[in-house]
Amino acid sequence: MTVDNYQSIPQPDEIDIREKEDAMGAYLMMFAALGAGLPLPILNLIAAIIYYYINKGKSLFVRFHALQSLLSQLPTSLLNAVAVFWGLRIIFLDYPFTDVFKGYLWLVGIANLLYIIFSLIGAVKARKGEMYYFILFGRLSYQSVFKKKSFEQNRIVNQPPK
Amino acid sequence: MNKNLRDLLIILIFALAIWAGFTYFSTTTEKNELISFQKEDEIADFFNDQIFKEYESIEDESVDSTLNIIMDRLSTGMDSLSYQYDIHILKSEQVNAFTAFNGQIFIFTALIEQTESAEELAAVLAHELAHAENRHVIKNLIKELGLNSLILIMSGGDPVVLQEISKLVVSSGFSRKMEREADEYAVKYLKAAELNPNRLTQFFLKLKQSKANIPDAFKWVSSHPGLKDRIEYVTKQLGDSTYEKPFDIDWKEFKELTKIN
Repeated sequence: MTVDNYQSIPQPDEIDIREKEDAMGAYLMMFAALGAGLPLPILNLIAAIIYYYINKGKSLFVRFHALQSLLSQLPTSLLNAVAVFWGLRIIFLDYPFTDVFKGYLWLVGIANLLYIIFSLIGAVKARKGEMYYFILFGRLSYQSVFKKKSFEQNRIVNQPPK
Repeated sequence: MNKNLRDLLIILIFALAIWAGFTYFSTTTEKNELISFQKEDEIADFFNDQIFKEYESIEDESVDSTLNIIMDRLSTGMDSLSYQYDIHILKSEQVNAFTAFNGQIFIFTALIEQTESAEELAAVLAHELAHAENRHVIKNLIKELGLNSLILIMSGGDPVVLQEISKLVVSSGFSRKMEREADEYAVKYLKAAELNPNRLTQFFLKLKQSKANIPDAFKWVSSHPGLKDRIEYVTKQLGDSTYEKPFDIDWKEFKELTKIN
């Protein structure tokens, strides 16, 4: 990850208040979607995707936070969805309520808790105009958002006459 | 190593460790252990009182000894018995047999009327024994009522509520999964007791055919869902074992003795 291949990261005083709020919104939006997404965990994922596509053009800073919020939601949503379907099978199709399922519910609970805690930290940091990197998802988002596109590297095509 | 890959691995290992750890240390008690056998014994007393108030039972020594012969043979096919089984024959026009609490099994005279041989009755009994061994009745009631209310109702002995509960048990509305489990065990018992497990499907088929003619009386069939699937399932399990050591029982005499009139 050489710095040359990446665009420079904006500092807090270079980011205007509107951008900071949009970046914070990426994390907070999920609380609104959480209620609707409870019976169907896929709903908050859809909300995050929509939010990302609406805001990705605004600035790299907003785009980074929107993408990080979206990516970090994937595993939790997946875990929740599995928990819901597994639970429905137990309730309606009489599958046994096993210790494995109980252990899984703990995992889902812990994953959701971690996700909420980190999202809140992310929201606060974004509001201050700071970058904040989650494990894995932070780096992935940075690499995706800040990497220079190849056409930008070879931008010098037109030369003055010799 | 790629840092992203490393992080992904850390997350996966962390998640699996949580899952495995909480699975290993969970303290789910099996539902069937929520009611002790002693408690079930008390419930059985209340229940039997209720049943014998509603139905007249047949008390006859030679009937009992015939049932004992069948029961003894079946128990040779079972590894261990959870209960001291008691089989009661009740006078009723309903074709029904059901398992109640604490190893009490009830058969209605009309069901015996439908059987052609002692082996066929043994198949029905094997199915009921399987329900009892797996404690389906208790599990079912806990599911319907909740554990606390079950104990409360049973020990309170309110006659109206008891009547409702006995209805619930008599109609033996088990879930598909429980029925399948009972079939599975019944086949195992029958095979091990040197009886032809096909008797079970034969009896199912017969009831299914006659059900068309007499719709209301065939409780045992109507309360047992998905009969077609189950016949297929049992048949699939059987392979082609038809070996059988017949009972030394005068079946005609037994049927005479258990006639209502």
